[in-house]
Amino acid sequence: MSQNEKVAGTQMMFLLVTTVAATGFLFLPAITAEVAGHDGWMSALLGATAFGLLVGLVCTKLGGYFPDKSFVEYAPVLVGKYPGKLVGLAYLLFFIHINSIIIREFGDFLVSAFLPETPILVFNIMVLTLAAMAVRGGIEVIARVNQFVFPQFFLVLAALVFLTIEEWEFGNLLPLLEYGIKPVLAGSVTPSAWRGEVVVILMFLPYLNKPAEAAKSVAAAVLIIAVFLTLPILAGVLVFGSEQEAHFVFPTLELARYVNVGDFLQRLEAIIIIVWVAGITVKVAVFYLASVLSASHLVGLSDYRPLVYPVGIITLVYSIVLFDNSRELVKFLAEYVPYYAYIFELGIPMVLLVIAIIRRKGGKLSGQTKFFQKDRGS
Amino acid sequence: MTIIVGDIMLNQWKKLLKKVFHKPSNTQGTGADRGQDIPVSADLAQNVACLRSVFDRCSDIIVREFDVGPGISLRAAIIYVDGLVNKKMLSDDLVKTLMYEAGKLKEKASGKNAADFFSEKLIAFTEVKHQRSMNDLVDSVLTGETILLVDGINSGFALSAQDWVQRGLQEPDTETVVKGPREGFNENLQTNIMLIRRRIKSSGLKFETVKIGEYTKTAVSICYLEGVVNPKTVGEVKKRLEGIKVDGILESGYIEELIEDAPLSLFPTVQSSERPDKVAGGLLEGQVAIMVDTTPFMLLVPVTFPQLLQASEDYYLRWPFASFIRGIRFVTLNIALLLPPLYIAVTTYHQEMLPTPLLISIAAAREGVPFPAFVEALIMETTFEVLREAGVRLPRNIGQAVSIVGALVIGQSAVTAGLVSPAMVIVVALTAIASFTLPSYSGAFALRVLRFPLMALAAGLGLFGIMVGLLAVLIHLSSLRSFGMSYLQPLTPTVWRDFKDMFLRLPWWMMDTRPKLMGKMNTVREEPGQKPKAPKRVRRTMK
Repeated sequence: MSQNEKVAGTQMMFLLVTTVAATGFLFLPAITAEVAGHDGWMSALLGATAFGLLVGLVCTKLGGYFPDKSFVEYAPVLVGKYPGKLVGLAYLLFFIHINSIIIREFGDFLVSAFLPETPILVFNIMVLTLAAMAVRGGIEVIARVNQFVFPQFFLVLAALVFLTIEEWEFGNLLPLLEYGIKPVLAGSVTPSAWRGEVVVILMFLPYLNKPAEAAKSVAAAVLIIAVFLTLPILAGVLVFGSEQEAHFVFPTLELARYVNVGDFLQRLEAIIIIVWVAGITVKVAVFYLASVLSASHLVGLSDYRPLVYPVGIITLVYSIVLFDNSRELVKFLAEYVPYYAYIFELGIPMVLLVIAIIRRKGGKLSGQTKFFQKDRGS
Repeated sequence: MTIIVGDIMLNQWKKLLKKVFHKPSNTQGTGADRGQDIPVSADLAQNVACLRSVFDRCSDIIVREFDVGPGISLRAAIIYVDGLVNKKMLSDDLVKTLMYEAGKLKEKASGKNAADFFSEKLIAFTEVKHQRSMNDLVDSVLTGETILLVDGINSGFALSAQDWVQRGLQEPDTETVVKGPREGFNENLQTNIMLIRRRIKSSGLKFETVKIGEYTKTAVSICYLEGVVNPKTVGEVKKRLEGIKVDGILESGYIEELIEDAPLSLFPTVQSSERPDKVAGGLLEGQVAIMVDTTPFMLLVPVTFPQLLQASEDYYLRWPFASFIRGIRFVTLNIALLLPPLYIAVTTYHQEMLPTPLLISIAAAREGVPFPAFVEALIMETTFEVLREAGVRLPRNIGQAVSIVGALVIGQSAVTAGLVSPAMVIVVALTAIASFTLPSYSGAFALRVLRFPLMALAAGLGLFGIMVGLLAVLIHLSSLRSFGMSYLQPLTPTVWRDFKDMFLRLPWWMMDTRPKLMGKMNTVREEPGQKPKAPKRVRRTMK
């Protein structure tokens, strides 16, 4: 691993924002509207943010014990060689799986919204090729690309939300908490899983130029994501009302179709493609890099680059064969992914953190845990 | 699947290429045989014979033997290349002195100090070098110095009396300005160095000259401003120049391709300029200039992509106008790269993006055009590139005719004949004009070439395709480096301080720091408080 590659805390923050928000702003509004109705924005704003902060805190705290190692590298140190490797393998598969779901979402969206005649394979191959280019460049390159992508993303999202301002109907939000807090909590299940994607930070902590700022940048990222993901939900409900919003597959896209400024600036949905493609490329590249890093750390390779294409092909195949159609994907996203993701995003890191704390407190320092000694010496 | 197949194919290609361009394992260098080094002997006849054999069949090498006089019998010889020396100076100041005046001196030279005696008392030249080896003598002659050999002295004098015909200092064709100095470099390294020195009168301005090219022995000067430049960059430039082992350097383009960071990229990671003021400006910002003899194009490293969009005139115009022009240039950059692909994508896939009246007029214009938009655009763009190339190659007065024919045939007749739509002509013309506004010739080239793959992507996948293409370019640019600098700096990694000379050109009194990394050593550029203030007017009371 080329450890001399370093990214700044703010770069990492923006990277995480793009990573989580790129898909979330399109898929989440419909899901939250369906479960939480017109209180969906609260689910995205409150519950999910708390979850995201918790994940970020656990991950950075855990990584703080091993400042120059990635999760897959230090897992065997914490729980023993073979169980540790098993955890690493599980995360490798988790990253690949999540990545293939992202790619599938991407292809599905483009096929259904823009180019219905084109086979989905074309889009999947293209985004993976772009991501492979970026991954071969390393995390620095991904972070730099994101510095161009993020502002576009921000501007387009802001434009979408605020250019529809004349259509806003605040009555759509009332009454607040009509059915109590339960639907809000239920609605935050899926957004929480989305927010929990900041778990990729586990693989990237060693690349931060100031490891001490890790927790701060992850927390800041989660808060920015909260704004980014809540605004489209809010705007969707304000314009369409929750019932109509729940019927759309991509409410944000409908929002773009709704924009009409002076009969000139209208039908902005093509612009969604721009953010979508750019954001997804960054997101896929981030998960791609995480999976390639996991794979190389799992087997102890010094350079991850030979693994880029093999892992890419596995991801590509998964992205095609995992789901038969778009509805199946949405069902999977809404019903299964959260619980499965919770385990990897919060459960396992939490367990490992507890083990780390206990072993450190208990002073059981065997030869295996020399990293603690090093940590103390410094 | 395609990715791995592509990778395997790529590897096979690499192997094939290796076979085709197999480097002969020749340890002898590139073949210019220098032979054994012989010291200069005390015997003039032997030296002259040796030089004559070296310069056998070189009719431009003149060997002239004569007696030093009057009153002493001492043979001497001068050797020079005809056309590279000032003959009047040689005959008046050297030959005449030696023949008629040398014998009149009261002191006489003898033995060991004869060489010093000659150079101190008799040779009335400002630059005299003592050469003790025959190879050095030969090199001196070939660079245009005149060699004086005297019987009994075991060294040769290399006198600098170089003088050859050179082009005057003209306004550079590639980078013209409205306001600003009009002189450009010419093909003579000494003149070019002089042009820089006249602008930066500091002992910190260093020129280190090396010879590159086994046959051409081209003088290449590494020029930098000590105290401002990052010494690592200078070291890196030297290292890369030392690595060059080729038979000849005829233009700085050779050097550029042999030292650049990304030899396979479309984008230049070395800047070239014909303007002394631009090079001097670069030196003041901490760039290193590589000046090559026999060409007016000097290289500047490191360079970043935003710098390719900066013209030297930006710094001479008042800052609001300079900033305005910068803005225009960012617009034209996008037009030059994206207008034809966008036209193709919108007319083929995204008609709904256009306001209806515009859509109707474009559709009406396209009615009867037999080609799809992509083919139409491809034909027009190719024709334009052909015309442009023809305009460069043809003699200047015929070039005018070509452009008239081109404009008439393509612009008028093709539309009248219904082969292309007028909208397409507008698109191509706009693109062409926009691409001429970019100050960097090689940077503009990259965009010209990139337009074609982007057009193909737009034709196949619409806006999505364009975005994919642009992202690929962005990823590529993000991974480029030029002599240790990220290519997209100061955009990313973000250096807010350097934004004052990026999209805007802020007034000079605000440009208080040099660009980060390049001018790392000495970042402060000017004293604070340079903002001019008019003296307060004292209000006089009217009487």
